[in-house]
Amino acid sequence: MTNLVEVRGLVKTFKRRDGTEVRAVRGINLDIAQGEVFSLLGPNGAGKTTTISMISGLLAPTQGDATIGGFSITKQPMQAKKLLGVVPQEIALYPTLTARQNLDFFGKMAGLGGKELAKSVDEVLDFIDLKDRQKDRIDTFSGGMKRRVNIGVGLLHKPQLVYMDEPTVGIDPQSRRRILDTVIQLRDEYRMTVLYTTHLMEEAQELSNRVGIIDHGEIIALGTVGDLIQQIGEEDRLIFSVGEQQIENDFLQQFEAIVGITKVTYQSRELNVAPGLEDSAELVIAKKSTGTMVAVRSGQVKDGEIVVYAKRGRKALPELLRIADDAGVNIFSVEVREPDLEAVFLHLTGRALRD
Amino acid sequence: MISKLWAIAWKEVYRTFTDRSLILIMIATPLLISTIVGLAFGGLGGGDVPVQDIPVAIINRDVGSSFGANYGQIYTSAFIGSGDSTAGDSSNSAPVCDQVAAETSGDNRSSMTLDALTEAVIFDAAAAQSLVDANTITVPEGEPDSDTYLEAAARAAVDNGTYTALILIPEDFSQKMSYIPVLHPQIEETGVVVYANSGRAVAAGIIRSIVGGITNQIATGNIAIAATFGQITDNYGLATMGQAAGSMDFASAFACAFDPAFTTITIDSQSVEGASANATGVILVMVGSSQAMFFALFTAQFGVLSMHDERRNWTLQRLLTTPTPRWVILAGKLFGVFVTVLFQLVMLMIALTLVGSLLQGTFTLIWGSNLFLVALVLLATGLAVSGLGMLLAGLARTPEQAQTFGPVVNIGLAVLGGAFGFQLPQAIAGFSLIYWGQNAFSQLAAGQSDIALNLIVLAVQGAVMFLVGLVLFNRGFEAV
Ligand SMILES: Nc1ncnc2c1ncn2[C@@H]1O[C@H](COP(=O)(O)OP(=O)(O)O)[C@@H](O)[C@H]1O
Ligand SMILES: [Mg+2]
Repeated sequence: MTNLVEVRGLVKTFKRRDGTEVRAVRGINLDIAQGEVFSLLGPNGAGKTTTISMISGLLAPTQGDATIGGFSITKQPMQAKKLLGVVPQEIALYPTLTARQNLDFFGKMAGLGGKELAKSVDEVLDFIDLKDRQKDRIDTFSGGMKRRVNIGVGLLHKPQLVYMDEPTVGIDPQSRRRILDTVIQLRDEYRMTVLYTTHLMEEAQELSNRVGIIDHGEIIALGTVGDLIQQIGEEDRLIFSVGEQQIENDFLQQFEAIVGITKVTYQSRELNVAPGLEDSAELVIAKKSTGTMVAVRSGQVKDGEIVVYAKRGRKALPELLRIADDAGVNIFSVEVREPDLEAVFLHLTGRALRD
Repeated sequence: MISKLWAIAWKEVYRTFTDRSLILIMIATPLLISTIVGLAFGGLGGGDVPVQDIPVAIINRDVGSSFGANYGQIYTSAFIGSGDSTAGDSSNSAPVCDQVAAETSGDNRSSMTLDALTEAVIFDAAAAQSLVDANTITVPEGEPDSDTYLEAAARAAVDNGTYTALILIPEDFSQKMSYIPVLHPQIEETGVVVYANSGRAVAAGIIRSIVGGITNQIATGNIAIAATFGQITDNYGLATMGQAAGSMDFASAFACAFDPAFTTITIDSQSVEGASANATGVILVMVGSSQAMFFALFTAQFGVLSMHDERRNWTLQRLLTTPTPRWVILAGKLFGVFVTVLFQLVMLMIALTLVGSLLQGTFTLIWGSNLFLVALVLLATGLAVSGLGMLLAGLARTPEQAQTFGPVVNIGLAVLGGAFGFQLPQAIAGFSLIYWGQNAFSQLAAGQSDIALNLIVLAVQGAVMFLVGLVLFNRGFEAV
C-alpha cells in the first residue's frame, strides 16, 4: 500500500489579538494509505479542523509539511489541491443559489468545464439523491439536504482524496445515517481515500480502517479500531449505579468471586447536575462521568459506581443482580459497555469524549 | 485562470441581481426618489416644457474681437432672440458679413425654443436702478454706472431669487475665442460666468447646460476651423497660406465664419435645443445620476465587504482549497463588484430614460445622444464608486466598522455632490465624486462634451482609492 497523504511534524500556533498563543496543533505525524478511510477522532477543540485546514492548503503551518500524492501542500499547493476534495465542517454553500448552481460554480473552481462539468454535476446530484431538488435554492433545504450538497461539492472532480470535517454535525439521526452510508459507499464502491473527522466514536468505529485519536493538538493513539481496543484489553465493563449507599468491601469481593470477572472497582463520583436544577424536583437528570445521563434524587451530589470488568459481561449479569439483591444493595441502573473507542479515550485521558 | 475569474465575477453579479430585497434598494429606491424629485421640479405633461420661464439676467460686456466677431451676441440672441436683443444688430461685425447676416436674420431657431424655457433680460443700469428703487436689493457698492456696480446688483438679484442665474460675458471674450490664422492663431482661455441661485439647482443646472453648450459650440467651431486651416497649410505650403492669411481682407472674410449671424455656428446650436427640449430629461439626469451614484456607493461597499461573509460562511475557505490562486479569487470578486455597480447604474439609466420618455410623451435619449461618451462617463463613475468601496473596506479594521462609517461617508459625499437638490459651489462640491459624475452626465444630457476633466478626476480618483484600498484590505485579510 502506498501512502497518498504523508503528514510530518505539523504544528499550528495561533496568535490571539491579546498576544497570547493557542497551540492548536502540536506536531502531528500521519500516513494515510490509498483507498482507506482514516478517522481523526477527538473532542471539540482538539485540533481536527486546524489539521485539515493545514493539509488542504487553507492555513499555513507554523512548522512541518504534508504531501498529497507526493506534492507538498506548502510548496506545490496547486498540484496538491487538484487531488483533493474538501467537505468543510460548515455548510460552505451560497444560500441564494440553487443546488445545481452551487455545484456548477464550485465545479468550475475545481477546474471542470463544458460537458464534463454538466456530467459531473448530474452524477453528483444522483449520488446525493437530490436530482429532483436541483433547481431549488439552498436556503429552502433542510439541514440534512444541505449537508448532502456540501458533500457533493467536494466530490465533483472525482478527487483521489476527500476530507470530511464532521459532516454529521447538527442533523437528525435519519440524515446522519444517510451520510454515513454515503461514506461507506465512497469507501466500498468508489475506493476513495477519505480523511474523516468526528467527535463521535461510533462513527469512527463504523467507518474507518484506521483511527487517530487526537487530543489537545496531539495524536495520542493510532491504529485500527481493533488495535486500539486491544491496548486497553478486550473486556466488557458493567457499570452499576448505587447512589449514595454505603458499599462494603466484602460485597465487592462477592462480585469478584464470580467466574469470568477479572476486576471490580468502586468509586463514588461527583454528579454534574445542571446549575439551578439541584433542588427543583424530586428527580433530576445528572450527567455521569461516562457521559450518560442518569436520574437521581434531588439533593444527591454523588453517585456510587461499581465497575465490573468481565470477559463476557452480559452472561454474568443475572448472577450479579441476585448477589446485590441478597445483600440488600439497591441497583439504580446498569450499563453494559462493550470495549470501544470511548473506553480507549477514557483510558488514555481520564476524560469522556463528549465532555 | 481567467475563466475562473469570470465565473467568480459572474456569480457575484448573479447573486446580487437575484436578490429581490437588494434590487429594491439598489434600483427601485433611487428610481423612485429621482422620479419624485423630477416630477416635483418638472411637472407632468407630455411634450410641454416642464420648467418654464426661468428668469435669467445677462450682462454682455463683450466688445467683439478686432477681427470682427462678437460671440457675446450669440448668448443674448439665444436667450432673448435677435428681435429684442440690443446686441443683435451686426454693427460690430465686419462689413463683409452683413450680406450673410441679412439672409439669415429672424431665422434664429434656438431663441424660439428658449423663449418658453427662460425669461431672459439684458441687465443694464436701468434694470439695476429699478431693483434698487423697488427695494428688492440694497444699493450696491461703486459708481452707479460702473461695471462693478452692475455686476454686484445682478448678483444680489440672483441671491434674492429675482433671477435664477446671471450670465456674464467678459469684455475680451470674442478676442480670446477668435481663431485667426497668423494674427491670432491660438484660442485663449476665457469663460462665461454663470452665477446661479443655489436654491434652484435644477433650473440653474439647465441654464448652465445651455451656456456651456453654446460656449462649447463656439470653441469647437473655431478649433475645427483651426484644424482645417492647419491642413490647408500642410497641403498647399506655408508660404502661400501665410501670404494669403497675412492680408487683412482674408482674415476678416474668414472671421465671418464666426459671426453670430452666420448660420453655421450661431443657429441650430444643437445643445441649446437639446437642453430645452429635454428639460425634464436634464432634471432626471441631474437628480438620477447623483442618486444612482449615491446608491451605487453602497453596492460597492457591501460588495467588497461580502468577502467577510464568504469567510464566515466558509465559501471563501472552500474556494481556497480548490486549485485557484488567491489573487484570482480576490480579483474575480472585485471585478464582480465593479460589474454589479455598472449594471446598477445602467439599469437606472435605462429606467430613467423610460420615465423621462413617458413624462415627455416621446422617446427621448435623456442622457444625450453621444452614447460613447456616456459609456465612458459610466465606466469612470463605476471605477470611482468601486474605488471608494474598496478604500472604505480596506480602511476599516472590521466589517462592522465599515458598515458604520460607510453610510456616513456616502451621505457626506452625496450632500457635497448635490444629490439632495442643493448645489454647493464647485470649490466644495469638487471634493465629491458624485459632483464630477453628475456634472459629466448633465453636460452630456445637454449635448455638451466638455467632460475630459470629469473623466480624469473620476478615473484617477477611482484608481488611486482602489489600489490603496486593495493593499490595505489584502493586508488585513491575509490570515484566513
Ligand atoms: N483562528 C484561530 N485563532 C485562534 N484560535 C483558534 C483558531 N482556530 C482554532 N483555534 C483554536 O484551536 C483549537 C483547535 O480548534 P479546532 O481545530 O477548530 O478544533 P476541532 O475542529 O477539533 O473542534 C481550539 O482551541 C480553538 O479555539
Ligand atoms: Mg472542527
